[in-house]
Amino acid sequence: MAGVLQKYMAQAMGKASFRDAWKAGGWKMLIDGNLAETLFEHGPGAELVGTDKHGNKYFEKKDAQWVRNRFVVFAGANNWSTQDASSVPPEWHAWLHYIGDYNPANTEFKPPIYAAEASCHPSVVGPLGPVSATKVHQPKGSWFDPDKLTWRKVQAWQPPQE
Amino acid sequence: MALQAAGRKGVQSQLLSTCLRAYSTAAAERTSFGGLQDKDRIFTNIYGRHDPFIKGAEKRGDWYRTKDIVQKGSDWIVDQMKKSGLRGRGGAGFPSGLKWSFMPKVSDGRPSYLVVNGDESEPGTCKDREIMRHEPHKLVEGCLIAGVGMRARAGYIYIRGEFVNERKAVMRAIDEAYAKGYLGKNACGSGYDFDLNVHWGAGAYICGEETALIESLEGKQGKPRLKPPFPANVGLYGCPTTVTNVETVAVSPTILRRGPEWFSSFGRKNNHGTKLFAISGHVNRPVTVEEEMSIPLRELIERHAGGVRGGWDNLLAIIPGGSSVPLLPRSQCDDVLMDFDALKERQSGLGTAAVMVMDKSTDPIEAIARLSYFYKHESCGQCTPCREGTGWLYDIMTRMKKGDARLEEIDMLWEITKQIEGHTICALGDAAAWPVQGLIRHFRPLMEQRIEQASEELERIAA
Amino acid sequence: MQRYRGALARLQAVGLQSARGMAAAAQPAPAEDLIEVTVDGQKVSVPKGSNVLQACDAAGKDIPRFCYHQRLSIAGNCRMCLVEVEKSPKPVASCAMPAGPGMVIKTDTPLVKKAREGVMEFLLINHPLDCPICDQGGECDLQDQSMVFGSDRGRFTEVKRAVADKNLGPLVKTVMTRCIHCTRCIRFAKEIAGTDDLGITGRGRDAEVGTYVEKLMTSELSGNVIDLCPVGALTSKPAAFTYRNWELKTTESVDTSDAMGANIRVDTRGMEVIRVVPRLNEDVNQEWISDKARFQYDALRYQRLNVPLVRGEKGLQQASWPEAFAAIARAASKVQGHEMRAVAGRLADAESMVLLKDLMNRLGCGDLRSEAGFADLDADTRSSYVFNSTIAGVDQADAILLVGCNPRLEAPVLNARIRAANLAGVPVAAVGEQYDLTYPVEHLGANGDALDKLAKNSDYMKRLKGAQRPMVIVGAGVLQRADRDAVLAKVAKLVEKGEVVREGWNGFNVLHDAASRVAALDLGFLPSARARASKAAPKLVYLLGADDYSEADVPPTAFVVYQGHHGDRGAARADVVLPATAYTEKYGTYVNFEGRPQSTKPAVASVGDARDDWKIVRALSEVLGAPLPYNSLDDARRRLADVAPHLARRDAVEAPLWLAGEQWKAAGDRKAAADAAPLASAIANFYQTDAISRASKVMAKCVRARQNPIPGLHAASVGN
Repeated sequence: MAGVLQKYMAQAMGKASFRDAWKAGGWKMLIDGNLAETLFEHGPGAELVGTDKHGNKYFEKKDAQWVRNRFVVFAGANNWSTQDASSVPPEWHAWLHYIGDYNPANTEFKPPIYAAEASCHPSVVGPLGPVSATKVHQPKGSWFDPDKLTWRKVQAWQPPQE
Repeated sequence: MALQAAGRKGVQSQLLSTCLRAYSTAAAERTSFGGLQDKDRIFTNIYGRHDPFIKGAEKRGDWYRTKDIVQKGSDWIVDQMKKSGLRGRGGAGFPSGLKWSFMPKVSDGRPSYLVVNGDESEPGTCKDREIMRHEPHKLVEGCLIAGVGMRARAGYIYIRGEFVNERKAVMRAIDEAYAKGYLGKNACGSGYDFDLNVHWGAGAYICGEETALIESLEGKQGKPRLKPPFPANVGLYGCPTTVTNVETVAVSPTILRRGPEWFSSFGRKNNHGTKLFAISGHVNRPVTVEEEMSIPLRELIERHAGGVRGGWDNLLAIIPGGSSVPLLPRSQCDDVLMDFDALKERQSGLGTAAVMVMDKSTDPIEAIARLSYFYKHESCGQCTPCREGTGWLYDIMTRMKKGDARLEEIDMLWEITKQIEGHTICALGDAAAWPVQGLIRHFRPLMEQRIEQASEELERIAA
Repeated sequence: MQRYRGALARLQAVGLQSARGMAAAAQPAPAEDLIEVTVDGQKVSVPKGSNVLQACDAAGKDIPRFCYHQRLSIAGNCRMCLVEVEKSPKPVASCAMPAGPGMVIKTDTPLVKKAREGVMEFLLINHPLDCPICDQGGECDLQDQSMVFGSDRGRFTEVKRAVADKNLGPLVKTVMTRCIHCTRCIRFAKEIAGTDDLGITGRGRDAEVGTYVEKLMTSELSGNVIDLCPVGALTSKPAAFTYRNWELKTTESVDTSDAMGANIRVDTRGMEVIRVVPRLNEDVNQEWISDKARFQYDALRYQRLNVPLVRGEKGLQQASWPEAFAAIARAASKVQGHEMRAVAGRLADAESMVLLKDLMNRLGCGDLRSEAGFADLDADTRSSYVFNSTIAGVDQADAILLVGCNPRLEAPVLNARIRAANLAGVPVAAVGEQYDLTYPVEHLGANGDALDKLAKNSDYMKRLKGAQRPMVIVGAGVLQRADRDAVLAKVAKLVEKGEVVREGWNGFNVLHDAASRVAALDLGFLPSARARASKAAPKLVYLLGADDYSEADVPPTAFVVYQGHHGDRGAARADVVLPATAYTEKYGTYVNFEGRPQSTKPAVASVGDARDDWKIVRALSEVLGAPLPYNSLDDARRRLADVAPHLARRDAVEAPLWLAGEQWKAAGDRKAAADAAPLASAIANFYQTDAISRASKVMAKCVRARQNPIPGLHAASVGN
């Protein structure tokens, strides 16, 4: 079964991008709709433009509709709990969102003065994984923040223990 | 040259008629004005050739029998001022005698104040400045007389912050007047108590608006108050106050000495008197000069300012009354008279009689854009149309300068000026709108041409 | 002279006189004080001194406005209310133009329409189009009025202005780019709140509203600028980005954070209280509420008691209701009725107090008291402990004497009213500690001796006598003193000599500091004569939400039952904790310091296993073998009306009889000596006064912010 699927996907997608995608997501795409959509709908024919320092891969599909032609496959895509959208560096964010057409992989960016400060922000730096996920701002009730996971609308008073 | 000669001839004939009129009371209505003689000048030291202070001033007739004038009483003074037909010299041209008569006749326990507006910040205007630095005693004496006329206990002269020497001159004049007993308790020995103080602002144009000036004088932000209540009812420190221009006050002693008939013999009906004209811009000799009201604009420029640079035919436009009135194109400058009513007929105004001359080297759009910048900068930010509108006008005018606009934006600009005009607390909104309106009224083809040129240029580059 | 000085401040005088004239405006004006104007061909009569805008309102014509506010001075700077007045060449700002007799006003001409459209366009050019993320969205004056009066397309193609946000402290969030410079907040701070914190810097397009230096807005009424702001420039910081106003369910209720009984509207979504805003009541709070009333609601989420707790070996443990009741019954069976005591807290409602009183009486217990040390107060005469002049009476007073009271903290909204009176020329004097009340106060001495001196033919006494409607306001701090009787006897002498109580006017007032006090006194929630005489320590103490009890009230050996909604001092001390409902979750009668009974209404459901207070007492009575015959709220209220009939007449003040100070003569006979300590206010920390506000994180932030009102300065000095 897996072999057939692999074969179909190999035909459907560009060579490099499929291998990357398989490595990144593999069969888990069957339960992860986002990844499947990325690979099946947008993926075929996409070109790998570059990889950032966190290992996120950026693809571009030239003939797709504008605004749907650039996408990212996160480094931690094989585990839903380690995907971190905030790990996209500013220059790649700019590229993804059409703020600029410069390819960050082969362009030298001079970081602005405030970048040093910004890079200290917990939601920007740090390796992927649960540790960074808790540092990232999570809304109340989020799966990724144990403190916020136990959030209740009303907090009961804890009597002092003797 | 021929035109100039014709002008002279006109002056001569007019002189004759003035002389005639001095003898016959039922003289026919005059039709030509100008050519004020030295003997009829009120400000005889306007150029500072003589001693501006007490000795020189007394020699020129200041403080001469002031006591008698003061003792004639308030009603007499106001009556004489009404008869003289003097209209406020600050720009709006409200009849001064009438204005002074609005002050309460009987106090309700509050003192009345005279406030003299020396915050002369209108671009192009430099008449009060000359009075304050070269004729300070005329101003100080005028303050006493105006103060008596409006039953004021004290007067405040609010001088623009940038006028340092002027302030010093006025302060010295006041000190001298106090030393001579002309001011203070029992001023001039008349039994009337009158004190005079000088206050100076920080150089905001809006502080020349009467209620903003009062706010500034009280130590608050200079932002115009709502009217009503008018200052004559609730003014400085909540007391009845009249705010008058320096020139209005400074001419009053001479009017009272020489009689209202003398003063009203100058100028057209409802526009009587003499007036300081400040002529600047593209003329050969920029000058501030005292002239008769209703003098033809062309004669004023050619007689006193040495004519337009490069001759009359090189004239492009004139702003006849300080930056806040619409400009007049060359075609209207030939025969217009310099008085309140004549200029109003031409959809402009006499304002402060600051004549700004622009020759053909001027870009009128850029000139008006600069004025828009001025009003944007000087808007106090209190009320919406002025705060937001002046900035918007400036933004559009900056683009119009380069022609970076669409043709329909000229109509939009016109509409915006109409949206500002008359919707604001004070007149600064109107003042910001009028120059732009004048530009569109008279130079619309130029604006259209510039826009078309710019778009053609753009197309050429794109192609 | 002071009246005159008020007139000098022109703008203030105009606004405040009109605010002060509200009581007068409520009554129909006599015919000679009316003028007739024509609005759009329709003739209306308005009182003299009204402006054109009020005349248009009277005619039912809707005039758009931003800067105009009834209770603030007139700025006339938004220019939105332009109307056409016959014989005036230009459209006039209707808020700033006094209506004259025979004036012909037109509000629907093309000129007016054009003018409004123009002003609206100007307002919008520099207003950001961030309505989708703006908390004001949906209740924004600019949004609404631009729909009605604005153009349907914009012509502005230039760059919009952006303004740096200001930090006004933990309560008010600013997005200054949205500001339309109506200056309502500035005028509020200056005129009503009395703290000159806000102002405009810069001119023209660069004008910015803000504090001149980065500084906390140091007012107890600062939250009201949120309601005043017609756009989203000032919004609630604690509630930022948590709601859209159309999602909210509104409940009209009453505030219990102080004794004023401010009328509030509780806005909720599902289980959560999202915000609290004031409700108009001219007789009580006008349209202001204090910051505590507005922002303490976040505490309704924290430290709640949601299950009954019973003290076991490991401290308080969760239990079921039957278990908790059984524990109480066990403890009660061991003690006699007269060995019990009930203490009512600051937030107790009248229903639960009357039921608890009945229960205790049935059990043979007469030792009932409020936590504030009122145990030996003689409350037989109602006029001796209420605010007799009524809050609206402050508007009519012409001399005010404060005795040991700080209205700024005890009732900030009342303080604003006193300030308005003071600005209009009413002199305010004080005996007691000196406080900054936001208006000048003549300080006449610190302690009881000063009262004696005043009463002895002093200069002030003459002025008090000479006044038409003098007011003496005694603070709650005085009632809570050990030497209360002595001080009150001195006050009584002062009241008698100064003729503060006269025909048609009772100027003696007590300013209570807690919502439950007047109801407790009205219901006689006071110890019986026998209980007073008894010196024995009680063995069972029932705390009805009492957290500020004195140590003497609760002996260390006693078995303590705590009934309340927040875990605080009382719950920590208790042996059995019964979870009850907070004021947003129940019907409860609260009597404000005037003696005005008002009812709270449930806005959200109760938390967990918590029950209404009266129900808990009713159920407990069953267990304790003295069942009460009240099975519904109506029964409880009927009982309330039996005990104190005036509590049945809701929202109305019943003027109590003045018994010529008889009650104090008895007290004075006790000859207790007044001590020399200055008469101090009952409240030192405005933001944390009861179990709710102490549990509030926002209130805690306010306390911290107050310690350091100018953060920039502090940081600089620390840095060095």
